[in-house]
Amino acid sequence: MQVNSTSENPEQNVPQGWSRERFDAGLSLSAASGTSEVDAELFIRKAFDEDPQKGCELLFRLYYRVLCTHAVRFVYSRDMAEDLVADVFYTFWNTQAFRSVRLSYRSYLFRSVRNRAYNYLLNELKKNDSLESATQHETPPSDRPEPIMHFEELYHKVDELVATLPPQCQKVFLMNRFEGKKSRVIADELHLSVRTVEGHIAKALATLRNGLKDHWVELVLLVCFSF
Amino acid sequence: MIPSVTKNLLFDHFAGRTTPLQKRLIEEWSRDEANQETFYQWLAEWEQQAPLYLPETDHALHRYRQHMENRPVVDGVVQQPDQSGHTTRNRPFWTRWLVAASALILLGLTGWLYRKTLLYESYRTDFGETRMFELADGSRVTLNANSLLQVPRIGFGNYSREVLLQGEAYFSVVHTVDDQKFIVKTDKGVDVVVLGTEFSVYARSRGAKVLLNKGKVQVRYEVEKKTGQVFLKPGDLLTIEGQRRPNVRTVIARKYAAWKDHRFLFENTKISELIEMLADIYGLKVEIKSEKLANRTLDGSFQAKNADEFLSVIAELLQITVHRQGHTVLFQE
Repeated sequence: MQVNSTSENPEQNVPQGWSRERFDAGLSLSAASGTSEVDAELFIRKAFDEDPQKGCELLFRLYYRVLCTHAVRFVYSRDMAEDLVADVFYTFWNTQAFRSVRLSYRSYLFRSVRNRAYNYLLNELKKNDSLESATQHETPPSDRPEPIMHFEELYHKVDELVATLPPQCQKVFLMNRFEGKKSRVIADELHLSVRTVEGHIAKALATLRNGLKDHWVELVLLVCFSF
Repeated sequence: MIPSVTKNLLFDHFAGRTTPLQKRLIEEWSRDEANQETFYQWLAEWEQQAPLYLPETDHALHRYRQHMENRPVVDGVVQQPDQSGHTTRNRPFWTRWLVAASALILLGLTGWLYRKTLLYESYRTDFGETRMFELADGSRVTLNANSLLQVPRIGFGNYSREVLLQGEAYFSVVHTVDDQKFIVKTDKGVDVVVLGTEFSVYARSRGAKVLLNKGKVQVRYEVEKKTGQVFLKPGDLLTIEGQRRPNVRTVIARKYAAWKDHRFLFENTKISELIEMLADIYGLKVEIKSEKLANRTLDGSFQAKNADEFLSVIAELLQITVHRQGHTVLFQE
């Protein structure tokens, strides 16, 4: 896969020539009007009434992909994003949360994923890499005081920070984080020493950490003032 | 009257192309719960249209299905996965414990006997063989002849990188992002602690040597039940023999790591040292008949791929005759 090293917004990272596959559950998200989404949600709600496992499976088929591509905007790692989304679905079953979903399943799942991604980044500042610790502090989606808008600001900020990295550093970082390649493999592909590759990764992570730290201070202040 | 938020505007917003005023508008709009529904609906649609990559669903769904099947719902309560079997119900309860206990003891015993094999991956070289390999963290090790390096199977590179060495090896250690220490342990009471550098370690029956090529290393040692530590600079050679305190001197590093390339460098080297080397590397026992020959020294540099090549070069250099019979060698003037 090719990584565009001068990307300024996320769409440029989409490799050209990739087809945009549709979901295979016979349900489509991209209908012209809003009616088909309502229908899909209604259909799933009926499935939940009959067999909750079936309902969960349908939700998974319908939203797993979009939730992963959304989560990756925050965490910048495909593996991490997929683990995070899978975890949301596991919890969804373990706590039987679908019984208390008042609005749409879609908004519940998106909120959960965004909260988890948010918490993950918050933990990342404490130099803590594990997903477990991110989920420990999770609160139910509705209890969040942060307005919906702050999530967009957050992943845009992450994008911005990645865009400020020098081209080679950015390339290495994306190969390592986004594509999940080991530093040894990157070193071989780019004809660099492993030490250089690791230096780039460390530098990129430090840039993100420091950049987000500042951003967080701003956010916290914003939240404090808005109450 | 607030102008309504359109799908296009939200798409622009997701892509980070909105002005502060537009953001303000969306913020106001999204306070309404019904609008939040629309917000997530369009977010899903946008993600569908402009995905950053295409996640693979089937495998993940399969795992999700297994997860749910392992935790069935009974009366609205999710059951924790049940690992115990259902077949032993009619046996007295203590037989199960007995079986479990004896299995555990047996397992423990086998584990204890084979603990080295279980816990460590071993790299071994024969007499006359040198071998290079790479560890999981990308560090490279060249093992000289007749040596053994043991690397933990579990946990290497998680928190620390520790290896055990018997014999001689040249290490080229990679510096990790989280500054993980690399520790070479020997049974000679000498441990070498580094972050990322190049150095060689020698630990055989006669003593231990550490030679630093690049960077900085810390050597921890134990002599007469007392521990100490020394930091080495490039070119430093540390030697510990018997129960004496370590000796550090600056040498030409090339000379001591030349074996990596099957090269041997001698500068004012005593024949006795040469004999030690032949024993270490090729497992040969050398006998010398004359006192005079034993006191001679050797200068020169050559490459030798095996013991016979080595011996024939020595014979030429010293102008002596060399007889080899199996593992015994006789030097004669």
